[in-house]
Amino acid sequence: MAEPAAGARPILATEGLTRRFGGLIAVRDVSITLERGELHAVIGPNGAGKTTLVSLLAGELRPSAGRILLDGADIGGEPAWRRTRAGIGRSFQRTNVFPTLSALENVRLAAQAVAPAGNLLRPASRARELIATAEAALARVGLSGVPGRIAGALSHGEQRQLEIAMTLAAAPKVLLLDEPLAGMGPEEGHRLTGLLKDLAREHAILLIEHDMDFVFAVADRMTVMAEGTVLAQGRPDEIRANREVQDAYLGGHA
Amino acid sequence: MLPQTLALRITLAAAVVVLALLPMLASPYYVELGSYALIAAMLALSLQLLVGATGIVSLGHAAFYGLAAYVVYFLTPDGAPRSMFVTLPLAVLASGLLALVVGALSLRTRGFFLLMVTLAFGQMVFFVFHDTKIGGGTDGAFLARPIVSLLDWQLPLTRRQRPIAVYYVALVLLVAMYLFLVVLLRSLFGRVLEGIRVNEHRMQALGYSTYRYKLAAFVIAGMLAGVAGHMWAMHRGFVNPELVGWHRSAEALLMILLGGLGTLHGPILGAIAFTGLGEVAQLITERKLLVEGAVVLLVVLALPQGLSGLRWPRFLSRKPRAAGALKARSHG
Repeated sequence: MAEPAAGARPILATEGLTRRFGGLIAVRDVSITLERGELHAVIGPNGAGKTTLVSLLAGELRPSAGRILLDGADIGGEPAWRRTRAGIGRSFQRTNVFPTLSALENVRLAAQAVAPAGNLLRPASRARELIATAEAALARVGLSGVPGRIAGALSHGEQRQLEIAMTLAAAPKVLLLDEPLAGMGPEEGHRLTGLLKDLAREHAILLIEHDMDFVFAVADRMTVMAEGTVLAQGRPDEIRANREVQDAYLGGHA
Repeated sequence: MLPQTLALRITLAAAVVVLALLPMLASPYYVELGSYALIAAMLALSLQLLVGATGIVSLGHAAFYGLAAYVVYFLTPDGAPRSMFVTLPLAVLASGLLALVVGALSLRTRGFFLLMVTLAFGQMVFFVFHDTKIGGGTDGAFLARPIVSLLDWQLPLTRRQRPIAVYYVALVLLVAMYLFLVVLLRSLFGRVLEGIRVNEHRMQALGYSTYRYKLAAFVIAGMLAGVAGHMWAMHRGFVNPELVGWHRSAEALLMILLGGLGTLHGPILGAIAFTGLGEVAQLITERKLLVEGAVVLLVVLALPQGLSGLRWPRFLSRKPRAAGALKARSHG
């Protein structure tokens, strides 16, 4: 995919990012960069600190030390809602939609969150531009057939798609996808894989995923984490050839 | 939360007609009792914006209700009545300002802690009126009831017509408050409140400063409670510290529970039922509170959605139109 122009600053970068929980250091001195148009995969065994890293980037956790730069601006101290408005879109590892609301309303709320304030007292059913944005996002993830269905009644795979539609509706600069394929059956997984490959062409994506075949197929660059630290960084072929990574994590995979 | 079925809308409209006819059918005593029920309904309805619509439970809501009544007292120091078109906006403004301060400080917390913080603020207001002489102290004080007048014109009322006029003013304000909340909950703002109720954490991840929305809801709810409190002053012509006490806040919560958490008309139903229940309980026993408590408990156990969970026979409850794609019916 598109190589970043020489000297262009990354869309997202961390410098020495660290997060402690009491005596435990979940993320230790992690520095990664995400270039525009790049799909950067973070892999590592359970407990490596991957989800903590995403939570730090998304603003659900504050860093104990280090910086987070979005397009050059330090956002490490901002709350989650400001980061979303600044362009960080995040999907959750465990499906996190509004189960009692319709699929369309789920996505419409996501679009409303980042839209210019406007008149908040007008009826939601007449907010055509928000509804159009939401419908487009649903269509983008292949859910245009279910706008009126209650989110809680959708299949697991459809809820994962909905989750991504909610992220897309905010037109993010950066997508943080935390195990988007988690718990998917083969068929659903296949459909979502195609979607993620599509999205990777237009967005800067930081992806956490356990499905190694998928990761090696789509990633431009990879970061391997173990016990909170960065073990290795590089292109998929470099990671595949890295003996240390093989020993620590990949096992027979490479 | 909103009236979705045609049967329910017709029922609500019919209920308003019945309430409007009450003064022509009932004795003056019951008109006064009716006024009290309508005022209680306004208080419970204002609290429902927090409890049922946003998922915030406050135990200090009576502070905004009682303050509005006290404002009427402060506005009539010479005992000369003033127009309700002057006293009502000022009372509502005062309640809104107090709600802004209390909300700004208490909405930093959630759940149980929020309950305790709002209770503490409510009791602070209670002790201001209870322990100082600014509002007549423990005994309370009489006030000049606001009148229905505009410039030089004044609604001419005899002594016997006055309670009836107060009843109608209360009914008009209650209906207006209900319609206002319907519009509010249908709006983009209202949808955010619903999102906060369902999953506040997710709303923050979506990019909403949920604190600001909750604070806005808290202030609006406080102002609506102020409308009810002002109406109390107009109805009784008397204020005392009980109006701001936590007991009144808890009563409003009970009314919501009795009528139903999931609907906007639930608190109105609950308030009317609770007022009626208190009246009946007083007639048949000296242990009024015991009877009230037992009945509320039974209703809540038998009807998880409160009185508004009672259903018409099936054939009557068709929807007016296909469910909008936007809004799946939440519940009730």
